Amino acid sequence: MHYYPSDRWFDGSNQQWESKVIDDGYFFAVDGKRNTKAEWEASIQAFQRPEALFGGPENPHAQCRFPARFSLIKSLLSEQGITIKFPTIDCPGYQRWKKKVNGQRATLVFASSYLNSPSSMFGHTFLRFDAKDVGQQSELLSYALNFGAVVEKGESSMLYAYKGLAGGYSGYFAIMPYYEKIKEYSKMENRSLWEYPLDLTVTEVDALLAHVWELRNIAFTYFFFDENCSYRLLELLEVAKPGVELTETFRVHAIPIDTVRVLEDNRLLGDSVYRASASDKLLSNAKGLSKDEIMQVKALAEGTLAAESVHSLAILNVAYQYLQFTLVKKQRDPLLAKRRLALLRAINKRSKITPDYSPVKPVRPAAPQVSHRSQMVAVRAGEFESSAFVDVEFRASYHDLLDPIDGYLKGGSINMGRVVLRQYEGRALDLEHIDFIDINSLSPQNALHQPMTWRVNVGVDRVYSDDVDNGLALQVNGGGGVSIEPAVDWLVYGLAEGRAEYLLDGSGMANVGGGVRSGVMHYGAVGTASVELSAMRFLQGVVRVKLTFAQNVVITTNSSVRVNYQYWENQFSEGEFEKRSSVNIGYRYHY
Amino acid sequence: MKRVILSAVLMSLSMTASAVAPGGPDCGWGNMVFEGQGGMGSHFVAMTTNGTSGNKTFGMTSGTNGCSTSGKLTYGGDAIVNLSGVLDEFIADSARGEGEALTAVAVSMGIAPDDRAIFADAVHDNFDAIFAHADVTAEDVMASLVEVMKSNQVLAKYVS
Repeated sequence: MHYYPSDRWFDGSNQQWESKVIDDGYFFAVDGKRNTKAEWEASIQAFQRPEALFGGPENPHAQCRFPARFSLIKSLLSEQGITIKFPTIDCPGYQRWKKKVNGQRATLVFASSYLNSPSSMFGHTFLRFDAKDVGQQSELLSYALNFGAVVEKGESSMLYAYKGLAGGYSGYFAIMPYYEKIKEYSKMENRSLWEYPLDLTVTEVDALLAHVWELRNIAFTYFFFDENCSYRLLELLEVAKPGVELTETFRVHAIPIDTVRVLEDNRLLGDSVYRASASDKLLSNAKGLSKDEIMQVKALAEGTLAAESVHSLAILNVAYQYLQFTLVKKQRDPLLAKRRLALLRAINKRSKITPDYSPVKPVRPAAPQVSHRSQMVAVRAGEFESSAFVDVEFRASYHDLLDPIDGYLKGGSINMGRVVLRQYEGRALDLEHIDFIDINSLSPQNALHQPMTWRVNVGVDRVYSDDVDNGLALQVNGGGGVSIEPAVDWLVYGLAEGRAEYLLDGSGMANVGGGVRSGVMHYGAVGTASVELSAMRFLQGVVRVKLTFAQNVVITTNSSVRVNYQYWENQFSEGEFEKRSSVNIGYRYHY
Repeated sequence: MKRVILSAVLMSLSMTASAVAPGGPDCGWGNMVFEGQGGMGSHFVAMTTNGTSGNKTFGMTSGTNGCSTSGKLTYGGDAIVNLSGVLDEFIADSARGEGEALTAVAVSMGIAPDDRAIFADAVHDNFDAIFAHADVTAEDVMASLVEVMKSNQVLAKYVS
């Protein structure tokens, strides 16, 4: 709970300890963050004082500011058989807050990823506190508890990424109505929400809230990978359920979905509820419409068709959803407000005539926690030209385009820390490939939604050419384009791309090129398959063409077999060319 | 650079007692329908990053930060949902006569589970009266809603 080295009896040793809280307001002793002995003694003294320690009209007494710490100390003292008399203090502010939150049950909410938002791709978790009879009520009125970094307005996402990794932000807990979170995730960011009721008793939720109250306006150092939203929530749940060990496995990084899995493994989660994003609702509802009807939807949204003239509730509903979707991030416009009201009036009128209409709801996808795990190792055997090789691969995170798709988004992938080592027959083990970062966002366009397709890759790979020695090159490549979904489970994409590389063979050679990449993906019953062709012309005149075919065969959620065929062709300006090919088969295991 | 913590307009819990006017300043009762998020200004900041919208206060007085629960727009003086926070959802649900926001408003007005269908029907039937024009504010909507409820045999008891 960040006060002392452990929540057991503190004997004054363990001077090396330092609290994760960076806020002085959290400690009673001046150097309480590090000086655990002083903090321990100062807190007991503060709880003993008859008068307020903190100023202000609210929560004047230390017992009211730190109710969870007070009860911890009382129970530790009684365990030791030590009697210290504490004054009885009323805490009206704390009581009022608890009454307002009205939390008798707690729910874990997982915000899944959205294709065009790379920082969303790891997901996000927060807690929700529900009234006892929330089923009869409305979850909209519940309160959500979120841990997040406080970001300067206008900060670029690159800076965000850097500071997030380096611990340059302060993290805070914040409480807000759940409907604000729905707006943020479902409507603004098009992310679906998964709600998991937590197996906590009313008493346990109460203990949790007592600690949450202590953490208000208290700053933590925020680290994107380890000490993030999900890690802090696990800590809180450990407070609620003493004896349950949740954070132990997340010393290096805490990917939100992995923290959901830990809770499931500890049997703390009930059956999940799926809350589709606004865009998913729009698209599933629009799928039932014909091309002509979609034209009417657009005409209604553009104002070229009067709402009163349309009789179909389905069309009117999609048109309203579509307008809502396109305007959600825009400033209010009086003309568009009139158009939206006209649509709702028409919906109102028609729904009185045909009361049994209901929109086509999105199909509930595979729940996130049943998706494959986020780390991976693979072994491969193959042939490059006529040399046999064996590969060993490790990937710290997370999901590539061909990995088992359940619980992930089609066309979306994000990988960090992928290393491939290769040994050719009769030769030493050598580095083959590194991805520092590899993101694909093949987001299909349709009549109502035209997101961009893009990809970026930074790492070390091999340039295959007679001109280079070993071909190992530090490189960055990426580009933008368009994807479409010509049929269910098919994805076709095309991108314009650039690449810059620096050869690591000591030659000091650097190269810049531009070109195109296009491919087809199929999400089949056995697994995902892809065919991809790329061609890139470099400043020196060489054109590199690469053709890839790959089929992933899913064995279980966490294991698959993958077959790969690659063909490279280098075309030189003199009309000469060289070609190479490679085929391999490998086993991949996610853990 | 201005911090994206919304705390400038969000009062902490301690302010509950100090509110005078319905809603209070920056509460959003003046927000019009179809405000979207773009119009929320300091109330809401669009972030694409993970959990970084930085409301670091624990402000929660009436459902939306900064709003008081005292004044003529509350019923029972307790935990009424701030309509402005769900206004866009409420108007859409009202048009169809069903939905989560409609239920949320019913709950926050203390309407018993058995009477909620009647409330939904009343709102559905009187859509044009409650949402008289495209520039109605949350306050207007609440006032019209009260009128509709007053003239309903079952619902009148909740607003008297």
